[in-house]
Amino acid sequence: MPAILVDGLCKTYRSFRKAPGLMGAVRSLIWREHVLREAVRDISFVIEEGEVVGFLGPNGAGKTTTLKMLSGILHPSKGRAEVLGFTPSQRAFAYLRQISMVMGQKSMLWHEIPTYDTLLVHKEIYRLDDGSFRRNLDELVELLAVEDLLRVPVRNLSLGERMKMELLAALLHQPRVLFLDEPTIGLDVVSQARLRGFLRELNRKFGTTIMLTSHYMDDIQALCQRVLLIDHGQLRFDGSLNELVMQSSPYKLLNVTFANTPPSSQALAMLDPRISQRPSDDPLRLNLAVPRELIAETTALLLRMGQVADVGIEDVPIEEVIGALFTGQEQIGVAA
Amino acid sequence: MLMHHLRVWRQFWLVAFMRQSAFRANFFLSLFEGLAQVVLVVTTFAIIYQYTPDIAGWTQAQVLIVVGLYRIVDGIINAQVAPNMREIDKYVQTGELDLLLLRPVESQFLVSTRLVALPELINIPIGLALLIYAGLQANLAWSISGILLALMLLLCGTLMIYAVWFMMMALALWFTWSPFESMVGNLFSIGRYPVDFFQRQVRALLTFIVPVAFATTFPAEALLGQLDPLIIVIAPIFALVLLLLSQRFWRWGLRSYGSASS
Repeated sequence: MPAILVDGLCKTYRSFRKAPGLMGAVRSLIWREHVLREAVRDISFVIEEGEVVGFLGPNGAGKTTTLKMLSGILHPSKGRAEVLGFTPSQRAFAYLRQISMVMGQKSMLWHEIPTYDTLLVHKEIYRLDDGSFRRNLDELVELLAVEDLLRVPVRNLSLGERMKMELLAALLHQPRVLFLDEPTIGLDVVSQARLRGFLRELNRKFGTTIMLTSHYMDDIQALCQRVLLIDHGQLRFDGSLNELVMQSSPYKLLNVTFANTPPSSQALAMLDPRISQRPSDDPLRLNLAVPRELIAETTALLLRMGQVADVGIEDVPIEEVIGALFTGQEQIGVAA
Repeated sequence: MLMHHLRVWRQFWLVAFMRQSAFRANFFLSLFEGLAQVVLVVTTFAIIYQYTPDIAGWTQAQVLIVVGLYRIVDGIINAQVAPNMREIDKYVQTGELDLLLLRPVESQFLVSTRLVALPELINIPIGLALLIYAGLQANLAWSISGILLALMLLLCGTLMIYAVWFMMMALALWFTWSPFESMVGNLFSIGRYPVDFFQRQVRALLTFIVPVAFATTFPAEALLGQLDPLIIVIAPIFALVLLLLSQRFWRWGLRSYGSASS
């Protein structure tokens, strides 16, 4: 049985449009105009237990909506979602005890009191006995290295420390499935890296299935063997990051730095027309987007054009690949 | 299931104790406010009763029994009910409701119990003191059955007020705010007077729409041995019906929230 099964999932929001001003407000009391917005359209995927899957897409693409449907907060308008064999929208307690969700912008901790006291509430809510409470707590405290923060009132913690505590509270009941919505938002680079390390460890140690959305590609690259790409509510890609790059960017970036004079434009005109030049801030450096199959011969050609000081061959940066996908550009290598 | 929820509830009270220690001033503020309210009402009635032996059949001492009972119920409501009711529309507006819905606990229970304003509890001993004083003045018999009956009615009345208030707040699930946010709380303050003080229509409103009478006037009548026996049967049934209704209403609202909110 897969951990998460989504089949033809749709979510249409119905909201009301109100004409501006006082008259609009009065009129809206009597008659309201419905506005339908399709947030998620016909999404299907399967996630196996123990997978870490990145959920990518621009703002408003439908990521959070999908996570909310999977965690049972929202009801799908159409289609089917099944997590751990449960239908999330029924919100069975047996289901809710096995999942958790962390939203980077919302806090589940009481701010005036230390985290430990909030955890005591969670202990009762999730019906943990003293033994498993202690055990889970000790494990998480060690993994997150937060021993001395447990007794500090939450409002006295830094943002990074607070996020750790949110995770601690969310994981105390050892959920089998964890939904993370922008967990690293607003954190500094060091805290982000620590959090990633923790999530990787969590997945390795307990086999927790993790589905995460993030704006930071580093999060996705570091954690996710697999990514789902969603745009305008539709699933655009499902596979590994490498496949995504290969599929959507048939180019590699070839950077050549010449020792004294760069080749003339006539010389460059001899190159294959599919090769395009990208801007460079160094006159001696030539940046080219080259189709994968032409990389070897183009490199050889350039080496003969002048005295070469340095050569670099790279993939198009992942941010650029995804950014281009979302803005609908076909030729990713060309965009700069 | 029930035990589970009771344990969670107990933990909320413990959290309230821990949060409270940071704001000790609130306690003295509540004490002062409770006493001031009592002094105000007692003096007002002392002045009025200089000119008349009774109002609508209620003597001064009997009215003070109602005032004392009102203080007690007010303490319970302000400590446990009001703090939670006032937050419900905010949970919807801020999206915090999402996080609350993720918990394996009845969501109505969770949003109705998680906040406790401990200092308000000081109103209970204040009300009790006034009740005993007024009872002695009124030559009350203090029968066990009368006291138990008054307790039962007080409990039913409080539950009814909660249920009505909760339904008013649950409107936020559809509209993201509730037009009646403080209506029930304000109407409840009429409960410090015996409902007989008012015209028939208002009396009906205070008995069946916002059931304030069950929490203060009827318990006072029970202590005085003047209770209409029909009330003894009606009160628990009415309380149960309102509670079940509030549960239905909340679930209905959650369905709407789950299908419409963003």
